[in-house]
Amino acid sequence: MTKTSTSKNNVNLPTPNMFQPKTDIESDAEIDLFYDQIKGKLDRLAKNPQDETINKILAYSRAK
Amino acid sequence: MANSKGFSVGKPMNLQSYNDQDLVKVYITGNENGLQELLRRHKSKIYTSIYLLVKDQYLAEDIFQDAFIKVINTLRSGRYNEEGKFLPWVMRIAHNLVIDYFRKEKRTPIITSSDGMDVFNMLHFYDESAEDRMLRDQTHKDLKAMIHLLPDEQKEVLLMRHYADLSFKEIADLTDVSINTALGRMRYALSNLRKMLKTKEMTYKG
Repeated sequence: MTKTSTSKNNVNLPTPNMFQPKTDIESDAEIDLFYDQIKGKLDRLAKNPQDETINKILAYSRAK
Repeated sequence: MANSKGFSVGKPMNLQSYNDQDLVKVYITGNENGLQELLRRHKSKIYTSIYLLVKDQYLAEDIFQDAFIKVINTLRSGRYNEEGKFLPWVMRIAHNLVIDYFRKEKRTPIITSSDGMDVFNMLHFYDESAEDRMLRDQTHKDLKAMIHLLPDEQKEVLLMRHYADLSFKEIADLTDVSINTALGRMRYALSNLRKMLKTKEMTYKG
């Protein structure tokens, strides 16, 4: 009969980090990549004030 | 012919090639076109930052206008510190006006949700068969709603960095925090947006 054994080397033991959900670990590279991906979408949210508002500001300046 | 500051008077000037400081000088020396060019150059950055903070077009228009009235009054009175940069200075004025508004209204500008789940109460989902344009428009609305859900300090940094194009040093100065804190807030803002988008994608698929 052949006896088997399992190594008790620490390599096989789970480390505390292994119990942390991977979704909570985000590298700077991942964040940077995500930012690059949504930059265009963020840009499309940009808005301008109405011309009327700009004209009021310029009129105020001229009258000042 | 040139005035005492070295800027030509009485003939058309190509102001688009001027930097902000020169445009301020042009304006202070009596040429209204200096202000016009500064407005053209920065109106979107400033207005978008205000609008995404207050979430109301008319209020954003009022605050934008009030900010520039303060700018005009300061420039005309000779109290402008030329060492400072124009855009961060205007952003500080606008930022303070937004804070003043919410203090007066005694209400919280942002619905904060650490896990991002509240977003589902605000967002409307359409069938996958809806037309592309509808989906694209919806994506914009969703992203805007998600930005609104970010904690105040994260949203501020994101808006100042992305829309106002301020450096982290300028953002740190403006919000009275260290550069590392400003950097951290930007990272958290992006991380939270990413989580919210992921959650939304899972909802679409599920």
